[in-house]
Amino acid sequence: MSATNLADTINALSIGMVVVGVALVWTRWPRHAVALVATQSLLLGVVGLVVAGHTHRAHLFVGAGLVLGVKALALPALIAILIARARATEEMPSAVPRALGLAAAVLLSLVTIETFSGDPFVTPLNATRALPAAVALMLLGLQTMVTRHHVVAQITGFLAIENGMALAALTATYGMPLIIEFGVLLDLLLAVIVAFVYSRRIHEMHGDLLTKVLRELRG
Amino acid sequence: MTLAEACCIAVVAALLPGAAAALVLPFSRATWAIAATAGGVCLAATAVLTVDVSRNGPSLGFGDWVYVDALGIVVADLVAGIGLLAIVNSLPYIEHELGHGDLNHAKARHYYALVLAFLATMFAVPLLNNLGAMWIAIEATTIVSALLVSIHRDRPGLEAAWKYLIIGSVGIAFALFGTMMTFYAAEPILGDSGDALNWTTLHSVARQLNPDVMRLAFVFVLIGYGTKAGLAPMHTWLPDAHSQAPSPVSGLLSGVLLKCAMVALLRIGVLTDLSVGGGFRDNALMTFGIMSIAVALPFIIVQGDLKRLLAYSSVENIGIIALAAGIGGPIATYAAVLHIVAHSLTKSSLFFSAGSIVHAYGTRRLHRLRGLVRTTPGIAAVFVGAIIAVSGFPPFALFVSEYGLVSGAFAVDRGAVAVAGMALVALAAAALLFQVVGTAFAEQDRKRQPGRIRSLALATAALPLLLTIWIAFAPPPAVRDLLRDAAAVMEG
Repeated sequence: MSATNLADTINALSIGMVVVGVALVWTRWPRHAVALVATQSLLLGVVGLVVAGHTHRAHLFVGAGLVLGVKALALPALIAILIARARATEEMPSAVPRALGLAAAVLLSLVTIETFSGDPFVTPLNATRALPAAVALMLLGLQTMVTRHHVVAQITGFLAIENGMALAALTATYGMPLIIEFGVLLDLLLAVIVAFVYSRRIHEMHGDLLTKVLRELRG
Repeated sequence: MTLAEACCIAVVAALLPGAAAALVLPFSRATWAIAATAGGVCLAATAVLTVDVSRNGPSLGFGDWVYVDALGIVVADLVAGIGLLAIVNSLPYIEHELGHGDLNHAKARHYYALVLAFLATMFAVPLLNNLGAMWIAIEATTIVSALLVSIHRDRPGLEAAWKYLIIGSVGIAFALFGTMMTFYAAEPILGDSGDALNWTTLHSVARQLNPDVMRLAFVFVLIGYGTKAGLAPMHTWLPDAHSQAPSPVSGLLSGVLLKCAMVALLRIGVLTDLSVGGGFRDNALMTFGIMSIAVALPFIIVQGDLKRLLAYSSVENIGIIALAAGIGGPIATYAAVLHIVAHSLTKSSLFFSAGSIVHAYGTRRLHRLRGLVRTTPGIAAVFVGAIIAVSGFPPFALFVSEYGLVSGAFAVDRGAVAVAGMALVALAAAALLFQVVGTAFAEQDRKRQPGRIRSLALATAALPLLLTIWIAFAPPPAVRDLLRDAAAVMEG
């Protein structure tokens, strides 16, 4: 793959991840949110494979494999189990009108990508959109978490933030040293497992997965 | 093997098998004894390491993975010292909970195992050289301590733990991005070897790091680790988690964990300051410092819940530490380190004594604790003393650090911001004193038979408070030098 093709491919995949991130803000169904975040992780895994293939770095192949296994498969499967067990067919309520949320997400993405384009945020592979897309992904994940009061939105939004982080790491510095990547993924896995356990308890106590019940402690 | 390596191995070998033993063995007082022994070994090892650092300066271990300098060892000492006190304080606390059916034996086993695991994760934070590894340790503290916050499995505990886990994890995901950006800034100079994440390596090339990238990195790290440290406006999880956790754990959360996150923030702050210069880091820290003090103030004034009151006071004090670190210069930076130590001791004393009070009176509502001084004079003396201490009055160490903050600020021409900050601190102090002292000395509104307060609970609450008087009045020269060295690390 030529250098231009490589940069174009990574740019396209990065923008694809952002589009999925915008869809995550838009969707109101827990199942769709899980599918979206799995897709986003899949794209991230492909970025990993592309960068690994280009740079011939073994640790990147391992890293991409871990991303595909943990983020694209295991974690979405865990959330899907949660949804199935809780029979969570309810909408994920939005704190702002959906159209407004969508407009904000699109605007946020465009402004972020514009702001962070150019030197010194051009990655070594010359993929000009990768780092800006990573920042946009983190902000979109945050928007999902803040605006949707539902356990599934909180977890998927968090995973989207993590995906943004991982995209930045992959493209800017060819990932982190493998042992660090491994530790980060382990932490992520544990955090989602604990969130899974808490979600089950929330469901046991209230019969749904809405986080509006978690609003008693104030002041 | 170096001394630093031996001490780290001793700590890990005490805490992790201790946690495993507490988890699997049937619950009895032996569970507590195991935990206390592990805590004791940990304290002994850090004491040895502290002497080594004071005498021989910083040292590396395990192929540069561990770096023990004055700032790191001061925080590690707090982890070990307050950790052991919290374990000892847990004996009366957990036995009371068992006696009242708030916990069962299985949960008590989990409790001790989690406390030891929590100490292990906190211990790693100030001593890891690799910024990525340090991040992993901080995220691990969140996971382990969230489980402690929800140990009662009741609804408020679940709510607090959920918010803590989610907000904490998101916050430090931002910090990971900042860490990664630091790595990115170093790549043109150091290549993409693992060394480029080592703080010592980064520090040696900090002036060459790309300032634009480091600025972005610090913003993310400030938001990320600032969330974990309890800086406003990212502090929203803190009052919930710190008030719902079992009180010995609240002492650890407020007393130690916030400082671990703060040290992580300050370490990357040093790199940022060397790279960017121009007071960028200082202004950011001062802004968040003042904001934290200002945001905590109204909540302190109207707070009716004893433990939430203490939690908001922690937000305020983290603000003071950030303000002092931002003001900079030798005096204010020394004040920041002293404030880290003194607030840890004072706040653990406050949470330990608050735990005993809440158990004895069966309530956390302040207005129901009227006449505290008459009915339970011992614990009331410690609690009121610690409130006076945290309000910044002599003869306690927080007075010295706040005084240092102001005088240090005038020395570097940042007097105005210090005075503004201290004016808010004075208001918060007045509110705290009014709330607590007024209640404690008020007439009892009715006959009340508070439960017994055990001498072990009283002693563990009193000891850290007495230590703050000692540090204020007659710190041994070695301690003063160590704090000065820690301040020098913070200044870069």
